[in-house]
Amino acid sequence: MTLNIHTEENEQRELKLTIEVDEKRVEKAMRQTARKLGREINVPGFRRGKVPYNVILRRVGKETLRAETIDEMVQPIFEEAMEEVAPEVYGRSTFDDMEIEPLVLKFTIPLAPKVDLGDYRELRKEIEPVNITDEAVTEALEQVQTRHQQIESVDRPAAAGDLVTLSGRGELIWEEDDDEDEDEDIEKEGEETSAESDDDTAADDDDDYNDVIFDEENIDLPLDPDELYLGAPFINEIIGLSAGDDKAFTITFPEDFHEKELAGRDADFEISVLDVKERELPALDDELAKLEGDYETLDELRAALREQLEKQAEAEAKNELIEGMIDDMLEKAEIVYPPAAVEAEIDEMIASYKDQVTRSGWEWDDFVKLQGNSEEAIRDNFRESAIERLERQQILRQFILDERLTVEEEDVDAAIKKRLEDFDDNDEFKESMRKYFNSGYGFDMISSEVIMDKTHDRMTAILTGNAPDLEALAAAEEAAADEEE
Amino acid sequence: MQIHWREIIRRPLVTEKSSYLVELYNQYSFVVDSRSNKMQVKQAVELAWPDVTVEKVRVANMPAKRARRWRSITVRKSGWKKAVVTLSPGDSIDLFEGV
Repeated sequence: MTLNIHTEENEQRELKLTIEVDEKRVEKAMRQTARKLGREINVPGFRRGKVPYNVILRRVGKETLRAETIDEMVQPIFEEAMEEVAPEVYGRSTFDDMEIEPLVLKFTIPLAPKVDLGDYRELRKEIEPVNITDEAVTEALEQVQTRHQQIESVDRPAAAGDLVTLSGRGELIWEEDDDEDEDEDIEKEGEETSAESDDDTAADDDDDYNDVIFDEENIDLPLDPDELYLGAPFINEIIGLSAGDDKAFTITFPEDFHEKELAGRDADFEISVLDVKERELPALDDELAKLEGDYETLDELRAALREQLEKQAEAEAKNELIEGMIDDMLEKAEIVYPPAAVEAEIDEMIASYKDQVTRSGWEWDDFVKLQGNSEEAIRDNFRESAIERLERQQILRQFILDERLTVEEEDVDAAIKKRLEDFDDNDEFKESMRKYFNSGYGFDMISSEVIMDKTHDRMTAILTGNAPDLEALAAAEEAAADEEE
Repeated sequence: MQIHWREIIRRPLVTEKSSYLVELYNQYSFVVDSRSNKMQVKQAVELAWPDVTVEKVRVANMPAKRARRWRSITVRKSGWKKAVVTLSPGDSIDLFEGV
């Protein structure tokens, strides 16, 4: 053995690795380097590659040769030592220090976090069953109604809830002088208008654009404060107008207006109503159910909606339960992890953030500059959430390990089968889906789904005090293993 | 002719060939003053490296050569004297000192 390895674990789950390298090995490597060098340099009196070691040593100097050799040795020696020690590595190892002669290399290796969940099995919690109220179903039904509404022009003054087609312009009034337009270059965002509509034919006169908060031609506006961004004051002015009417009016936006730029401000509007349309909701009957899809009767639709809502709520509740349990466990647990693990987590977050940024068409470097930030600063911003992510992740992992939850082949098969149930008439599609779920990404997805389901079930069992005894589980597992043999 | 012993040995000759001679026959090669003879080389070596004994000295006058400098201008490279010194077994010289 040519390596003398010392390891020492510190309290932060870092392994301090000290490797002493046998001098003979260094010497051998130096000769190799020299031979390689001899092929490249010209020494008078010698053909290339025929220069003896001593001559090269003289020529390049012992220190240089040694340094060069060690440079090349570090990586393979590190790998060799890792193989021998075989720690559970987590994150990037760092090279700390070295002594040249004799050669001693020092590394810090981050180890897998150690998690002690404590007496999490004592946690109890009331689990409330998912309950879908009739109101929720009714609301969903209303949404279905709105989706199938009929719009019809009517010859009557506009009323609340109608759809009004109008053209016109609205400008903010400045308190100092009520003289509209002309020159005002006080900063004022124009976002409200530009963000609003696509069919805006943008009257591009030289008026100060920044004051214009409304400038539309032929636009349909719903007279409903929940749907229209201009809010109730505007709608109140429109109500009562008929097609062909023109009106100029001033409104004051309330102080608590959702658009902060507008809150408390006055604005002049000049609009002409082109058309008033009534929105007629279809009756709640079997016809609507048929329109919506594969339903025969309204009751069927209602049941389907309820089921849908229940599924949604259940999934949410499931998630909440898991997250909540992790929160509780986090309080009890003791987690020790190396600082490098956090860095690794940040790396991951940065990578996905970078991906997002580049996908939206930015160069990463430009983006960072634009934010007036450095990558370092962004990293720091991520640090806190990275720590949280890491801790939660470790808790969940340890829970799964402690509870001996595993994903078996038949579990995955069952999950796939369940997924494919909905596509019972398309065999070809089913087959390709099955292939997808049995390999690579699809498989990862389905197995993580399975494990989360199992986690949820077990958590529920623990919280209600019905968890199976761990020792019994272990015994059963062993028995099963014996049987297989 | 009187030449100071320090001026006899100009420099050691380190080439592939001379390296082999050291390795195989314990013979060391030097570039020496062209006017010197075997006896003087022997003395000079023994004075310069007091703990070695010279067994035998062979000398050779290396011919002058034409060398080309730039493209076509030829220059004469003067000749020199080579001495190959055989040491008694076990003795050695660190040839590369001061190269």
